Amino acid sequence: MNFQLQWLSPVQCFVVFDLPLATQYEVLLLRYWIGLLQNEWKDQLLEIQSEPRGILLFFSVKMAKKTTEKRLEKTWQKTIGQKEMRFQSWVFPLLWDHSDRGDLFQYFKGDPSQLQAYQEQFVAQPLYAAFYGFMPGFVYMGGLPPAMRLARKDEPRLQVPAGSVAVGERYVGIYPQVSPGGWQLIGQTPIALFDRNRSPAFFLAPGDRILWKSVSASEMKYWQQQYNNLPQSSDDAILL
Amino acid sequence: MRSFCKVIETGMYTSVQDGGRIGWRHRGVPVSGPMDRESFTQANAVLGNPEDAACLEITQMGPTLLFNDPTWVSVSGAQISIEKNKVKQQMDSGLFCDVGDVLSLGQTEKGVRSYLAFQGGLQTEIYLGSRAQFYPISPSATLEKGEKLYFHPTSATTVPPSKVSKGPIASLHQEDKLLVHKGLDWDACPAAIREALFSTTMLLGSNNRMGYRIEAALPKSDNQPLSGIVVPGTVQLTPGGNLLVAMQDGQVTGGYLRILQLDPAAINFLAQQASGKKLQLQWAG
Repeated sequence: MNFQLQWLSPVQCFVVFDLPLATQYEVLLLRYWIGLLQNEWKDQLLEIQSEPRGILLFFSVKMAKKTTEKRLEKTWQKTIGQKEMRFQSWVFPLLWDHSDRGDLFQYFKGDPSQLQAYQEQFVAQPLYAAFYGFMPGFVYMGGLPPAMRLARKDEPRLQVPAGSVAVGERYVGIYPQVSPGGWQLIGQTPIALFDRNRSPAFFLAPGDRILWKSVSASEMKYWQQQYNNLPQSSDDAILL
Repeated sequence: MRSFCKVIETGMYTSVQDGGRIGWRHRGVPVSGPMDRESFTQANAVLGNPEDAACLEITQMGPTLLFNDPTWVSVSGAQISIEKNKVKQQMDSGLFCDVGDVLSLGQTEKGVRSYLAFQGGLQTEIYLGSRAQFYPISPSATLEKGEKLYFHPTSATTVPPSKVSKGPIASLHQEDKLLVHKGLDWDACPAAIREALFSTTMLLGSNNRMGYRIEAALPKSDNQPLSGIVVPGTVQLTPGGNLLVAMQDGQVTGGYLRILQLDPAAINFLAQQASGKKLQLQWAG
């Protein structure tokens, strides 16, 4: 991967990648790099936000362009020399929407074999957290094979319920609170990716793996009553 | 006992704002903070407060507050009528509110946002490092009737804070130019739109703390890029040929072309404009 710098202001630098990130491995490289950059600049760096096409660095002081570029280059070389990328693997419960007014039923025009095949493939396909955006706690999850992508709805819904699991083109997401939304709703999850009263308020990090698990309505209720409703997770790594 | 005043009337859209919730964009949380930072800074400066001290941001119609404890306050930004116990008061100067005083702010003129500062800054609840109200990070987006607003204790014998005499607030000027820089996706902006951008008179549409819609009637285009980072002042082009300007509570990503970026001063200026205002874009020097 190559990158170039685009300065929005003397304190905001956009690092543009030559190709958008498209795999869990690439997002993990970025996660490692961001860690090095935070260590490199410490208090001078207010924060880093990532998206598939680049990262935005917010500095607290004006930066010299040449030295910024050199430090980015140096830390990037160190990143690609890593032999192991660590992350968490999570299992998220999913209660499918089986109603005949549901988006998935409409999408497949009620064809039972297509519906069943989609649901089986969905829970067999590990996804990864790509980046946060849209609203607090909304994670764009990547990794859907092209055949499983669903086109967005022509007209967005005015009110999508919180906890809705949705597919929009290449991404899967969970609506963290009630909001308008144009993605196809496939079911509900008890997992809140943001909870003001929970510690930690956010737990999913870009690069983490997500595996969906079909649950029944009573299992869903059980989850909702769990203190802190954090899902199951395990340590995981990609070795090179 | 903590010092406080009680919210008798909330006003139209009054919220607590401080320097902003910095460092949470990577979890999807907008920075929030004052829409017109210049007026906010002035309100704090009058009382000798820290630059980022929490104030009330008032939109078009101000609140009525009943003081349970004494403190000094000041109001800057859009011109607004101020009454303490039904006696008219001045803007941009320290004003002592004693136990039992009722402070009432009216409607804004020449601008839409005023800032009410409290000596030492409001001491409301901190969420993710900031007192700025933004739902769902804070439990509500605006003041609620009957709510207690906490502040530092002050006694009547405290020396009145010195006035700060600054020039007129630049964001309140009455021009019709919006200063812009090239945005992250400028290179992908269709040529027909680039040509029309600076010769079109545009109309401010609906707006709130998330953003301003600008009715621009530019040529239609069908660019649908991947979702990308949006910061306050980012101008996106909709397929229908209008512009969306992200403001302090704006979503941290957007799905349209980011053709322009407002000059920092233009963000403050825009924050004082109401829908119906006619504007022209101009390159910032």
